[in-house]
Order: sequence, then structure tokens, then C-alpha cells
Amino acid sequence: MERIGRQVGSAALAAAVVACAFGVVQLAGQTRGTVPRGTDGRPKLDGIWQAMTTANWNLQDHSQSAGPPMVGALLATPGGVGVVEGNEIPYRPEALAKKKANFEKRWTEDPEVKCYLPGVPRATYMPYPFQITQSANKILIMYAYAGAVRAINLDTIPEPTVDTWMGHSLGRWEKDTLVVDVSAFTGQQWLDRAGNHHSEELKVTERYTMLGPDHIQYEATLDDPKTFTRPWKISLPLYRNIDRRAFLVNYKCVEFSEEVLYGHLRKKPTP
Amino acid sequence: MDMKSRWLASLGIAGVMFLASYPAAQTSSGGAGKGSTAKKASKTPWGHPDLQGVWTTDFEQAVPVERPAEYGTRAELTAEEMRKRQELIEKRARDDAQDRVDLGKVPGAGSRVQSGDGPEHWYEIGKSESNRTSLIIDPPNGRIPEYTPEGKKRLAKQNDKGSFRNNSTGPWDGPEDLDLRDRCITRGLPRTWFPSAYNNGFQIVQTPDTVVVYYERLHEARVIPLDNRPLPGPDVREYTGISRGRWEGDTLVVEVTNFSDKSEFYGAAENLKVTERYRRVGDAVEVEFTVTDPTTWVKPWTAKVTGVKDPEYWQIFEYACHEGNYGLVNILAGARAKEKADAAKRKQSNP
Repeated sequence: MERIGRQVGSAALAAAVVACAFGVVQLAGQTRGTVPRGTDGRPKLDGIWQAMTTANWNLQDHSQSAGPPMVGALLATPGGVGVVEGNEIPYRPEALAKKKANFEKRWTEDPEVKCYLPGVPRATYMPYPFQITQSANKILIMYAYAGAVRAINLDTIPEPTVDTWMGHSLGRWEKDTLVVDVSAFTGQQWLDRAGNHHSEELKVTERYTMLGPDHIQYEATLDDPKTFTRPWKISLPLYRNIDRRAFLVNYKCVEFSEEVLYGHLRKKPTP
Repeated sequence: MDMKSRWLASLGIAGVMFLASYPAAQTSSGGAGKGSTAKKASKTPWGHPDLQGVWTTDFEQAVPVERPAEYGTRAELTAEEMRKRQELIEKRARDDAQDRVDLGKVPGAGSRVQSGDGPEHWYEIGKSESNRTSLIIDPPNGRIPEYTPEGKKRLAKQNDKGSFRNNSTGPWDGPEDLDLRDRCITRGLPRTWFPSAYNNGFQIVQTPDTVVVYYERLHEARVIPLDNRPLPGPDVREYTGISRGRWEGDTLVVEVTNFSDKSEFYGAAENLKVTERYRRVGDAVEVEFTVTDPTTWVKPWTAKVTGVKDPEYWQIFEYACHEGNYGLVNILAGARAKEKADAAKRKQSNP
């Protein structure tokens, strides 16, 4: 027991030293083990991953709070430490007003209520798994939630001429980090259940860095001058599902949104 | 051969291929296939046949699922029959009001003037070049085998759902009265293989232990593990089933089971089993699939589709169906409006 404790302690210390050396202050302690690599020498991101945060409830620091009253504790919000660097989302005044308005009507207006495609980066930290499949010039990410899919293009392809829910993703390797520029959003997405939002001008820069065989450090910088006064960043680890039986079970939630979306159009309207 | 030794044998074959192809191995494109004139390596660096890229079945768009009876066991049209079909296709491709009325009178041609239908520029009519008489290749008459009594009942129930496609007479009391496509829930498997009027692209990405098939329509991606990952128990079911794959020589064989009792495929639902066979044939990928369900059909049947590269179709676009499902809203709202109007009329005639 003591021996294990000492090992873990020294590993944590080493990790902390490494982390400081790279300027990564958060999330030390996950650097053990080697990063899996493909024949091209790149880190292999293949696998089933999931965030372990309460960011989907609220990106920022938050205490627990009530959910919709009719379902008791079932949908209440657990408290949690936020994922926003510095904990501040630098809204412009009118955008902050919109965030507050969103918050007030979050139990009906969050696109998640309607099972709409979640956008980026929200798809990453929803409480559902996603799978990455990596080939040389295309990386697909399949999210269980809403069956959302993204193709990250490592080859150069033109921007789409229409806006999208999941964005248009262009990727490149910067040393061992997969960097993805995501743009062409509709601007109808929310960033969490607390009403954080962005406009169609959002450009996201994601960074996927493997810390070891079973962890990815995920960062996303959000730049949207129409909504924010400066770019800001979120950062969180992703964890591999190491269960040998695991596979991606889709969560096709469309049918569960029909009552909310179409109930008033039923022959017997939903009250 | 038992499961384990078959698996080892295919590993052995894969190993040999790896050695054979390695010196020339280029990392193949997962997409952006601009033309196909260049001689490309059709093997992945690890020796599996290379199925990767963006493919489309647009070229078989005019081929019916079932063969019209007059062609018997003939798999291809004559030049004259082909010319006639092309004429009809060209008519469909034009945006002409009289054409629409005329086509509405031709069974199977589709009138495209009904509720839920989109504007003409949505459609990709006119690319069909295939002279096949049906997508079904077995039984030899190219038609769905006889239904069991239970299957017939289920088929009628599934067919009664929907909008314009099957001339449903309603009711349209709520979303459940429409089919899974109208509701943007799923295109269904293997139905999504059948080419339709638009968005017939699919993208395949491969690794040594996984194949992903990502269909443009309804952004449905299937992750197919190749590593003998166990199937879950019978209580884990999905609309498009759960897929497990393996290489048998140069053929990727995928077995799909665990379909939902709400799946809709020509009368079949939870008892459906689909066995797909993917083969790289020159610049195309051929997908044959056999569907088995003794509770629906008296024997299995098999269809084949061919994915080809199209220089104009080199990326999968986002198909955000549910997010813009005005069709469903309008169908339900229309039904309510009609009920209101009918009630007013009744009131007027019986004051």
C-alpha cells in the first residue's frame, strides 16, 4: 500500500515537473505510458473517448442548482469546476444580455432539448462518448449524441458555401498535436445548458494532444468578434473507454424531441 | 472452419498482403478523389483492400430496387430500353410543370409535386448511367421473395406510414404516423444503400481494426469493429443494427444484427439480419447485401449497389435533416388545418 502510494506520488511529481516545463499547469499526473503511434509516426487518436466534466451544464465554475421541477432531482445540475481559462467568457454587452436571456429559457430553448446537432466544441464535452477513426488525410469523429459526425480534413479542401451545425474542419499536425480549425457555423448552437452561445462568425481552433495511451488533452480557442471582446480558451482532458467490450452505441435522440417540437400539432395537442 | 481459425487465417492473408504491397504502399486518400485516371494503389499500407474515399451511387439512381416483371431474369436493359429510361430521366431532371403532371401519371416515375418534396435544385436526377434492371440480384427474377403472413402485415403497417412516397391516406395525427425518413430519425439499414434522388454519397475510412461507413444522407456513420469485439446482448438494439466485420480474403464481410423493433425495412424489423460484402473492383466499391428474416420473407434476398468516384462529389456535406424538418411541421399543420376546414364545412351543411 505504502509502496504504491510512493510510486504514484513520484509519478505525480515527475508529471508536474514535465507539465511545468511545457507550461501546462493544469491536469498534470496523466503523462504516464507511451503515446500510441501509427506507421506514419503520428499519435493515433483512434478509440472511444469521453470528457469527465460538468462543462455541458455550465462551462464556467458553478454550484449545484435545480433542474426542471417536474422531474425532481433527475435533471438537476451538479456543481463543478469550469473548463474556461481564467473562468471568464469575455462577452460583449449585448451578447451577455442574450446569454442571460438564454439562461432563463434554458429548459425549452437549448438546442439540446430539440436534439439538434451540438456544434463544436460542445460535442466534445457532452456527457456521451465519441469515437475517433484516423486515416492519413481524413479523421472522422462519430459522436454518440444525435449521431453527429465530423470529417476532419487534413488535405486542403475548399470551404463549404453554406453554414453548418458541426462546422467545417481543417486539420494539421503541429508536432504531436492535432490542430483543427473549425468554421462555417450557423450560429444557432449553444455552448452549454447555461445559455452560453456564439454567432455565425465563430472560429474554433481545437488542439488534441495525447498525454499517454488513454488520455487526450483537449483545448479549444473560441474567436468570435461579434460575440466576444477577445478569443478565449477551454481546456479539459478526454478519457479513453478501456472496456474491451465497449463500442459506440448511438444516441439518436430525435424521436425524444418530437413532443417538444411537434406536440402542439398533434390531433390531440400536448398540453 | 471455426471462428478462431478463420480469423487467424485471414490474419495470415493480411500479413502476406502487407509484405507484398509494402514497398509500393502509398497512404491512400480517404477522400478528395479528383478523377480516377491515375493508377492508384488499391491496398492500404497494412495490406487490406483499400475501400477509402468518397463514393456515390448516383449512377444507379434510376435502377429500381425490384425488377419490373417484363424483364424476367434479364439483369440488363437493351439499348432501346435504356434509351427510353434515359428519356424519362431527362424529363424528371427538367424543372417543367407539364412534365411533372405527365410523370405523375407514370407509375414509379414520381411526380414531385407533393407535400414534403423539395425544389427541383435539390435533386440529382440525370446522372444515372447504369443499365441494370434491378438492384436485387437474387432471387434471379430480381424481386423480393414471398412474404410470410406476419411479414405482409408488418409491411402494410410500415407502408401506411408516410407522406407522398407511398400515397399514404393518413392519418397524420402525430409524428409517429410518418416514417423514420420523414421524421429524420434514420434512413434505415440496408435501405440507405439504395440510391435516391439526392445525397447518394458515402465515405469510407479504414484502419487495421475498424471500418467506418459514413453516409451523407442523415449523417449516419457506422463504426464497424474488425477485432472480434463481442456483440452486446439482445436488449441493446439500434435502428441501423449493430455491425461486426471481418476480412475474408479481399472481401470485407459485415454482419448486422440487433435491429430495433422500430426499424423499418420492407416489412422487416427486429429479426432482420444483414450480411454485407464489400469489394474493391477497379475504381469502384461494390457492396452486396443479403437480408434474412424468416419472420418476414420465405427466403433471403440479395441486392447490390456500386459506389463510384465522381470528380464533382468529393466531400460529404452536412445533412442536417431534423434541424430543418419543415416538411413534418407542414404535414401535421396541414392535417390540422384540413380538419378545421372539414369541421366548418360540416357545420355549414348541417346548421
